[in-house]
Amino acid sequence: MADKPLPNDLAGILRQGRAIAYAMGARTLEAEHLLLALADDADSPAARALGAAGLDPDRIRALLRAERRQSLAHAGVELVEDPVSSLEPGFTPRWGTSAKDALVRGKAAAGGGLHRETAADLLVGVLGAEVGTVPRALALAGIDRAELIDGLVAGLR
Amino acid sequence: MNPITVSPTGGAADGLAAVVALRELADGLEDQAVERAMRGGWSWTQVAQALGVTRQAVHKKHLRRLVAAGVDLRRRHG
Repeated sequence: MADKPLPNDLAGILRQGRAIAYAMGARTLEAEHLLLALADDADSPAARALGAAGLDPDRIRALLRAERRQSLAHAGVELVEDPVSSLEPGFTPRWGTSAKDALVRGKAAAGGGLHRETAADLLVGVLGAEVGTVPRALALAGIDRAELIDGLVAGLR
Repeated sequence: MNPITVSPTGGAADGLAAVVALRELADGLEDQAVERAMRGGWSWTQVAQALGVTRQAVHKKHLRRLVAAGVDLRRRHG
């Protein structure tokens, strides 16, 4: 997707995001997978900011599951068990629109220039979506996304 | 004109999120149902007819996954 190499930490996050999407049976890499990858990268500024808000990987996974169940319930569907897709070995999840958008917002947060974007900038990009799975999962849990972004941006300066 | 700010929950957001969740659920159900049918001896044509799609579409989407899952697909050209 990128013409120039990404900073190592960001490239690692994108690889981890793809691995998480694959493990979850997702055919596309979405913003929620990037969020989990960012939270997984312990001791990074992004993971610390998430951790300060109580968002460790397990909690994020629980919130994402709660969001899906609540959204299905809106359509009158109750899950007895999650039917998880099992992808074949070597399948590479494609870029999903929510992940692409998060990367673009992260680039803007970094002041432009893709090669300047860090994992923390990407987190700002992931959290910056107005609607969709990530903002919805956080809102349903009563987490103030704007506050999270403000704290993260302040910590980056 | 700038669009109005919208909430990620409630109102229209709930309906749109339900569509996303249903698509994901349908994908998972399709994977499971196709694998079950093929393990039960169904042909590609039968599975395609049941899903209302072409045989080529089912083949393209599921072949590699089923092979990796160890489903015996020999003599299943119909």
